[in-house]
Amino acid sequence: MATTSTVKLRSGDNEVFEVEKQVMIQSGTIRNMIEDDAADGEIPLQISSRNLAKVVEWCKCMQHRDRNNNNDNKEEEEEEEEWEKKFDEEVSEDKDLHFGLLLAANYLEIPALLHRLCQLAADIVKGKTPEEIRRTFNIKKDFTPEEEEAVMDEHGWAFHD
Amino acid sequence: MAFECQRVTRVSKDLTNSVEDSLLSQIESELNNLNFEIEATKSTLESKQLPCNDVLSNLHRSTITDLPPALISEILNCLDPKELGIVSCVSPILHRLASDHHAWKEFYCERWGLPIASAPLGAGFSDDKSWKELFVEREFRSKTFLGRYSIDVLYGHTEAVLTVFVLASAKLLFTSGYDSIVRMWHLEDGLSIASSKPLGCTIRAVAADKKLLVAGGTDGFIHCWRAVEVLPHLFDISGSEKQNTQFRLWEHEGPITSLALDLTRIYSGSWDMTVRVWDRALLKCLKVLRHSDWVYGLAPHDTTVASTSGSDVYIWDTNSGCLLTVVNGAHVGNTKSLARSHTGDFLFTGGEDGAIHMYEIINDCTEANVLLVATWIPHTGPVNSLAFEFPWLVSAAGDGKLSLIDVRKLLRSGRHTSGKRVSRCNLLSVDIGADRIVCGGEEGIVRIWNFSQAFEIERRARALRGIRLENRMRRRKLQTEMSSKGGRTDQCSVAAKKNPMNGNRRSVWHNKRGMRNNVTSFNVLGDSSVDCGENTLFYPILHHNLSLIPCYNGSDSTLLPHLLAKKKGLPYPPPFYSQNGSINGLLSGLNYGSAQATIMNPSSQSHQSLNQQLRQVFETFQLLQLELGEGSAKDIIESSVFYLSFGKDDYLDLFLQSSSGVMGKYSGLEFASILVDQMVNVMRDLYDANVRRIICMGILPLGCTPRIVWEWRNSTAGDDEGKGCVAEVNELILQYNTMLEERIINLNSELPNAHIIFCDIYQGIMQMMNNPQYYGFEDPKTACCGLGLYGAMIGCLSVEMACERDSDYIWWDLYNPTKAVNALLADSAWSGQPLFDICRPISVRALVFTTPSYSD
Repeated sequence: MATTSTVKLRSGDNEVFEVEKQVMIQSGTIRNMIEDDAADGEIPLQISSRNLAKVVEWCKCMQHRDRNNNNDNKEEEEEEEEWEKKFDEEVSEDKDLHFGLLLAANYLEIPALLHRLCQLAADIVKGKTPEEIRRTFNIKKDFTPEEEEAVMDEHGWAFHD
Repeated sequence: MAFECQRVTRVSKDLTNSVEDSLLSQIESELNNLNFEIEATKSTLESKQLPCNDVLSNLHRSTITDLPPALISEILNCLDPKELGIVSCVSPILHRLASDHHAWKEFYCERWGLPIASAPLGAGFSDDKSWKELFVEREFRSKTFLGRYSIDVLYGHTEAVLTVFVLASAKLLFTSGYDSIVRMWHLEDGLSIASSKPLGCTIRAVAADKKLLVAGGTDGFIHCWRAVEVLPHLFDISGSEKQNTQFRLWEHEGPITSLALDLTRIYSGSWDMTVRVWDRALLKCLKVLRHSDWVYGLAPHDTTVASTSGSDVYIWDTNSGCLLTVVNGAHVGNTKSLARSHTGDFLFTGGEDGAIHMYEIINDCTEANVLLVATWIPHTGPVNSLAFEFPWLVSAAGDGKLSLIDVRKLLRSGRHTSGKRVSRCNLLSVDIGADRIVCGGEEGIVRIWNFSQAFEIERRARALRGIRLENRMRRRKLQTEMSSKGGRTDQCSVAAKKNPMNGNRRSVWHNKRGMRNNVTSFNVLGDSSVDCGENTLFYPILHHNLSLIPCYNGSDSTLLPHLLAKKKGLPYPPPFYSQNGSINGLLSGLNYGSAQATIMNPSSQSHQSLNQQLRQVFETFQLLQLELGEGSAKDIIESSVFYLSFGKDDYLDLFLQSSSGVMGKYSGLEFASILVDQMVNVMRDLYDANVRRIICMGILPLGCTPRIVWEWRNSTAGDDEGKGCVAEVNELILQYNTMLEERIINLNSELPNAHIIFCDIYQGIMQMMNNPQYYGFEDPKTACCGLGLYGAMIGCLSVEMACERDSDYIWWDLYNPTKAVNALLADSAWSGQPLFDICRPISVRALVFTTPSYSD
C-alpha cells in the first residue's frame, strides 16, 4: 500500500532522512523493501548519518542527471560535473568516508556508487610502490623479511618494463 | 552511466570469439566457469553479507584490509597486471587476494586467448598453475623476442615462398608459394613432414586450425584438407592415405590472396575484389563482400571482418554483410598486409609505402569507428606481410628486412622499432607463434627464428637472481647481527666468509683483502663512448643524432675502453651480439655497449638501455655457471673488470630535448639524482653477482661538444664568447659527475671488498679545452667529421667527410671526442699522467694490479 512518495531512512545514530522513493530505488535493498510494501515506516539502517547523508546526496545527483539526460542543459551539466569532481576529491582525501561509503554502497546495493568508489580506490593505488600503498592505507606489512624477499622476487617483473 | 570496471562481461564476450583452437568443449567449459565467476561476483556484491553493526562500528576504520574480501577484490578488479603485481607485495592479505584474483585469467585471455595445453593430452593446465602464474610466464615469454635466438633455415621450396602459417597449438608450420606445393614442417626442429602434390597454380594464402587446413590458389579455388584425428600430424596433405580428406571450394573469379578460419567459418579474400565468408559445416558461401579494388588481406574477429583493398581498409559486419566503415587511402599505393590483435580491437596495416599503421576499432554494434593510433616507417620497400602476437608486431618487407615492434611500449610512450636485415631478397610472408618468428622470401627458403632458448636462459637467470637476493639478505642480516654483537662473526653464512667486515667503515678501502691479481676478463657497458653502432641485434634504422659514424673508421679501436684494454694486455672484448654461444668467447669478457644507450629505459629507438645491458650480463653469468660450474664461474667473475660509461645520451635525448617534457618535470639536480641512483643500483647488482672491480666513467663536458655549442649559439643569437662552452649544460653534467663520485665513495666503504673507481673525463677534456696547444690540438671547437659551423650542422655521414688530420681536433663528430683525446684519457686513466688523477681514488692500473693494500 504505497501511499506516500517518500521513504524515511533512519541512520545508525538515529537521524531520519526523508527522501523521494524515486531517488532511493537506485538502492537494490531499498527498492526491494518498497516493492514489498515494507517501506512505509522508517527504515532503520546501520549507517552513520554522515555517510548516509553522502549516499543520499549522491543518489539525488545521479537521479537528477538521469532525468535530465535528454535535454541539453549545458549549465546544469557543468554543475553536475563539478559536483562529481568535488565528490571524488572529498572521498579520495578522506579514507574513513571512502571506506564507510564503500561499505554503505555494498550494503544498500548501489552498484554505480560501488563501482565509482572502487575505481577511486584503485586510482589511489595506481603508480604507487608497495611502501607508499602501505603508508597511504595504513596497512601493516605483516611479512617476515624472508617472505618479503620471496614476494618481491616473485613480483620483480611488476617493477620494471 | 559508465562504469569502468566492466572487464568481466567484456572478456566473456572475447572468449566466445576465441578462434585459434577448435577445442570446442574446452572453451565451453571455460565459458561456464567464467559465467560462474560473474555470478559469484554479483552475488557477493548483492548479498547483504554485512552484519549490521559492522557498518557502524567501523566509522573509524581507515585500513583497506579491514574491508570485506569481496570489496577489496572489486577494487583490485580496476587495476592492470603490473599494479596487481605491486599490490601483491603490500601485505599477506592483499597478496592472497591479488594472486587468486580472477582478473589474471581475463588478462591472459584478452592478450592471447585460451592457453594451448602443453601436454598432448591437455592434462588440465589450470590445475597445475594458477592463472597468475600462467600470465606471468607468458608475459615473460613475450619479452624474449629481444633475446638470444637461433635460426633454422628450411629448404624445400623451389620458388618464392608467399605464405607461412604457424599452427602453434599443434607445433606445425605450413608454407607455400609460387611452386604450388603446400609443405608441412615441424615447428620445433624445422624438419619437413610432408608436402602436397602440386596444386596447379601459385598459392598465396594458407591457414589452418586443428580441424582444417586451407590453401588458396591463383585459379580461384580454396583447397581444403580435413584433419584426420589418428594422424600424428593431423593432415594427410600428400594424399597417401586411402580416405579422401581433400576437397575444393570454387567461387572466386580471381587469385586468392588471403585466408582465415574461425570456429564456424572460412574467410577468403581475392583479387576478384571480393571477400567471401563460408560456412565450415555446409561448405557454402554465406556472404560476398564486394570491394572496389583487389583484396590483399583480411582479418576476422567475432562478427566483423577487416579487409584491405587497394589502398583502403574496410570493416564489415559478417552477419548482415553490411559495410561498417572504410578508411580511404590508408597507404600510398596498395595496403598489402593486415594483422589484428587477439581482442580484435587493434588493426595493423602494412603498405607499399613501407609504412605500418596501427588503428583502434571502436565498435558500436551498428557502426564502427577507426582511429589511427600510430605509424611507423621501418621499411623502405613494400610491407608484404604482418603478424601479431601480444605485444609483438612483426613485419616482413620487400627491402629484405624484418622488423619487430613492441606495441605495448608504443601505447605508452611513442615508438620502439627495430629492423633486422635478413636477406637481400624480397621477404614475402611472416608469422609469429610458439616463441618463434617464421619468414618466407623470394629465394624459396623459410627461416625460423627460435627464441625459446632465450626464454630458457632468462628463466635460469631469474633463478640466479633469487640466489643473489638471498645473498644480499644474508649479508644484511649479518650486518645487523654484527652491529648488535659489536663486530664478531661466527659461522653465519657463505657471504660472511667472503666478506670480512671491519669495524671502522671508512678505512675499509685500505684494508680490503686482496683479490686475484690476474684480471682475465674485461667487460664493457655503455653508449657511443664504447660502441660504434656495431652492437645491435637489429640494424639501427634511425641515427637520430644525425651522426652515422661515432668513431673514426667506424671501429671501436679508437675508443677509450679499447685503448685501456690494450694497456692491460687484454684482447678487446667482442660485441655481445657477435658471439656464437661458445664458452671460450665469454671468458675474456664482452662488450655489451650500444651506441645511444641511455641509463633511463628507452622510450624509442633501437638501442639497448643500461638495464637491458645488465640483463645480458646476467645471462652471460648464467651461461658461465651452467658450463663451468658455480665455483669456476665465480672465480672468473671475481677476476673481471667492468667498465661503465653512460649518461651522455640521457641528457641529449631526454633532459635537453624540450619535446621529451623531462626538463619541465625535473630540476637538473633531480634528474642527476635519478640517473645516479640507477647507476648505483647497477653497481650493487654487479657486486651482488660477485663482480668486485668496476670502472665507472663520468660524462664528458657535453656543453663543449660542437653540436650543443652550435645549438645554443643559434638559440641565443650568437653570444658565445670565451672558450665557447655552454655553461648551463656543463653545470648539469658537473652535478651528475659530482653526485656519482660521492656515491661511489660511499659504495666502496659500504660493500666489503668492492673496488670501484670513478674516472673524471670531464676534468680531463676540460684541461685539454683550456690549453689545447699544450696537448697538441689546433682546433678545440670544430668537429673533424661534420658540416656547417663547427662541423655541427650535419653529423658524420661518411668517413670521407672527415678532416685530414683528426689528431688536430678535440671533437670527432657532434658529441664524441677524437682518438687523440681518447688516447690521452686512456694514458691518464691508466697511470695518472699526463692529465693528473682523473681516475679516483686509484688509477686503472692500480685497480687491475690491485694488491692487499694500495693506499695512496
